Amino acid sequence: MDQAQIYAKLTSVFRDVLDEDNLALTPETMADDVDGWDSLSHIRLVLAVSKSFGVKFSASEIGGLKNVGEFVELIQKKI
Amino acid sequence: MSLTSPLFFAFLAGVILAYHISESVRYRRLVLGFGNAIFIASYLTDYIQILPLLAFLLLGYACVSILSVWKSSLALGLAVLGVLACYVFLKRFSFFDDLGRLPFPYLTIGLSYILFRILHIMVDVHSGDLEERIGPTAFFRYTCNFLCFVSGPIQRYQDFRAADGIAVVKLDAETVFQAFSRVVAGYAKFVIIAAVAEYAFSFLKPQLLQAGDPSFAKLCMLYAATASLYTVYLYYNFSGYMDIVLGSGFLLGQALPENFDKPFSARSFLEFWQRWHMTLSQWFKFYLFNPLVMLLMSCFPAPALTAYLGVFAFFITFLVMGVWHGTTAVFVVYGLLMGAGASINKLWQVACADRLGKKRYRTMTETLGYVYFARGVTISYFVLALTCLWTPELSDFTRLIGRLGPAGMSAAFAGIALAFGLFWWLADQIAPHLTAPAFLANARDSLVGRNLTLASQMMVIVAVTALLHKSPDFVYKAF
Repeated sequence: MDQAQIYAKLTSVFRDVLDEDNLALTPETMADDVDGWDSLSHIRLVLAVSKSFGVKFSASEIGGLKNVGEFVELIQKKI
Repeated sequence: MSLTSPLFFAFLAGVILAYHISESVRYRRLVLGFGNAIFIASYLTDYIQILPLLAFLLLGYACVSILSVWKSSLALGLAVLGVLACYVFLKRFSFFDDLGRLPFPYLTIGLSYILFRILHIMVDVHSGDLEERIGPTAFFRYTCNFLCFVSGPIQRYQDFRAADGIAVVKLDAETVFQAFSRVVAGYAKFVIIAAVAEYAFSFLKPQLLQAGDPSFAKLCMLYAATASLYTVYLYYNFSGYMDIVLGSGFLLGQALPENFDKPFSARSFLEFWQRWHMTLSQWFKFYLFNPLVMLLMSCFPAPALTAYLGVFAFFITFLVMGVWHGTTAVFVVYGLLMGAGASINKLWQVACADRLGKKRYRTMTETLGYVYFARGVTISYFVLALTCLWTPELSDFTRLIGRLGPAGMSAAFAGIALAFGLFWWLADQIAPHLTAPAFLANARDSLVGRNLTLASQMMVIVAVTALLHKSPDFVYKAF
């Protein structure tokens, strides 16, 4: 799966979890930029991404994610 | 040795000089290892006092080694339980008195922070985040790094490893000046602001706790003033200590993580803990809050429950974090207050977002009145909760709260919130008008100006230390 496909799938997961139909993701998108992306929805996002991509994340990976770009790189490394 | 003692200065200078004699990584690691051993030995009066700490480190290292080859969840669970049980026994928690005690005095300083480092390594080794085999000397250098030994900051092993004797440090004028500026700023906080606040606190506390019969108004004011002074003392003592540690780290190539980010400007209790003792908060977020929320969400997947699961997870996380601060029953009260603060904060956010909608709630939080009200309430709650730290005996704590009663506590809470809210409002009004004229700013930032500023800070530190006749101790050493 290439980066563009990961972004497309990830955007769909984000829209579903955060209930924001018009949400657009860029590599620089951070939690502060997205309404509703707080520490709780972050965990819900991680769970949804794990299920959707069939990957698992460790405690430090979950806590250390700074933006969408890092999220995509991490997914790409695991699939 | 205390970080404010001349002995520490001599020791630090010795370590820095020895470190820079050679660029060999093996040599530098040897210097750091010996530095740690000498620093720890300075707390000992008898070799036997180090044995429990050594046993704890050996247990931790054994667990890490086992987990690096046996990565099962059962092994991790057993290792975490074993290390925690050993920690609780050595730390002499009053509620576990029945477990018995070692029949000799021993070193417990630094134990709490070593625990966090060991648990972090164990979890990361188990999850595969740390794949390299950690040698015993690297384990010692990390868990007992003398700069962070007493009270953090809690650096991640991955970040420590990147600098461990490897980092290129150029001791040019700019680096040395930056390091000295940070260290001197730390001493200024430590021996001027914190010491003066402690002086005033120590003067008021006996008056507050003694069994007199002051008027209701006087009792409330006395309590509010004592509690506020303790908070000022705690913050400047701890953040000053961190400045000394971080500044010293610059000279050894160690970019240690920051522990404070203007905590008293926080607009909510949850934001406060993202700014206060940040490495501790982050540790708890990584290794307790996030896994707990994941577990809860896996058991109760309905999105409508998310916020309430979060409230519960915040309560548990802050309760544990509060209880960790001490070994007596009053610290359970502190933990409950921390847990309640975090949960109420989250419930408030959920209720406001539900009632007003996310956008209107966000707009409301940006209004001037709300900002200063929220800052005042946040600080006031924290100030009052800290009462547990300066009345560590439950009997003293309950007697004080009993004398104040709900009316007294409410009055003190409102008074402190109002005072801090007004202070911030005034500070924000005045600060923009305090810019120095260009010629003064240029003089201040020139080579001579910067060095004169540093020298005058040092002079003031010496003068205040002489005036107070004592060097304050580091308050967080006890936790």
